[in-house]
Amino acid sequence: MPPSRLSPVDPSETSELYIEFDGAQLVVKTDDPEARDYFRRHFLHMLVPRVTASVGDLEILRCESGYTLRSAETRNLPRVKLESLLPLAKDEVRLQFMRSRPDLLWLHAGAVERHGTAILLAGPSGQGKSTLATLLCERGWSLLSDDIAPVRMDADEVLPFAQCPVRRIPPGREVQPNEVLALDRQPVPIDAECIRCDPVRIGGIVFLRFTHGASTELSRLTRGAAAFEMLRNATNFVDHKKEGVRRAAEMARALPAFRLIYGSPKDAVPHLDTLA
Amino acid sequence: MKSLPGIRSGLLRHPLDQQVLVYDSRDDRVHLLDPTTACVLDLLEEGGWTREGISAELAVRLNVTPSDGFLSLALDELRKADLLDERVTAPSPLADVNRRELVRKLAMTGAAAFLIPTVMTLAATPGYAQGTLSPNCAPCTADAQCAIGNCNNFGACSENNGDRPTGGDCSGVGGGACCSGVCLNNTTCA
Repeated sequence: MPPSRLSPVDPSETSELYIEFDGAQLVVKTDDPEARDYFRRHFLHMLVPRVTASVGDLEILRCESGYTLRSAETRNLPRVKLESLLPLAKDEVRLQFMRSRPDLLWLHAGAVERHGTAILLAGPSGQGKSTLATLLCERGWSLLSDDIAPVRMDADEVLPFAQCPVRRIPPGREVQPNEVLALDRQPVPIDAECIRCDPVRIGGIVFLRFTHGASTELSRLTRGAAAFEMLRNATNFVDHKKEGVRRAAEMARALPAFRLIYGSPKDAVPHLDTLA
Repeated sequence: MKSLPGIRSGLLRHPLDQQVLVYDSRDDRVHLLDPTTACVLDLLEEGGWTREGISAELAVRLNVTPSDGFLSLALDELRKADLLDERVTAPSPLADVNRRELVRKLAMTGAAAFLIPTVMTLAATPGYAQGTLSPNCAPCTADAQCAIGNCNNFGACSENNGDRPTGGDCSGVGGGACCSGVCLNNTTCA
């Protein structure tokens, strides 16, 4: 959605933004210009000009002692800096959509597309999903998502969730595993023409394992291991339980799955290129 | 001769080539059984086998030298995963030293690593798992947002309920109140 289609904003007013996922919108209301700009930047390709099917709302409002964050529940956060609050609020957007769509299997994965087929890049925090997804976009792939991949339960199809990718900034030294989550992060704007806005058939899944100094190795997983890893990376298993296990087994039978062990994202990307 | 246990009811199985994915609805846990353990599970469910019979059948199906070690290890793995019904048998868990010895003996017979009985277990998260986990001391609104698994009363990812998060107010209370231990400019937790 090009930003020029959105209305200009008076910085002194409480404003609303409408973030859309699969035809439904979440209303984000805030009276803080910095918060407004943050959401505009991070959800640029998911913003729409109006609400046609609301799934709920999220408010970030200034109060006397700090901010109030209201979504599924209200939480007053006195004197917490906005820069600390906004990532939480951003994640609340994902959670709101997940609550509204328990029919989907939400995988902790990025998703990129080329030639009409999507590859999912799955793994826990710090394994390089966002970094690899953005590097692949530089090589002509299109982005569906960098961190969460909603997959249908009745088809091998992934839906786009194209929030702005955010990747960790390498500190220029070896990082201990317990330091990874605390690394500074930077948003990586992606041009609109590199964003895929409609569902795409899944062609394969890659489970990532980043190890400093490791040489790149892309290996095929057994179907059993693939299904197990899918369930390990399913963020809403609670919505599906035995049906989620059935679906993971089904996907494991239908889709090729790989493990990518790597120490250098730039060295790893050509290996991923071969998958589509 | 010790009787063999049965398989617990309520298990949903999905064969995936020679491995089996098992969902335990009682505990909301998922298990991945290697080919050997999957084979033992099948034979136990069939029933009517002796230990010697299962060991011989395993050797045929897996194309290995017959050894009671496969069955012993597989039973131990199934027992640890709580997949057995042992109301009529007395469970005898393998001691670590016995397990290591058995694995060593099986390896010496030339058994491939993938045939050594193993069960991987995944406990399902009860709620929605966080997409990207917050590090220690980051602000939070729910336990699932924190890598450490706990969002304290001050809204900090910390095991200590008295810790204030990064960006939190420490005016008049100092760095000791901050999760990070540092109060910047006597006002804000680092």
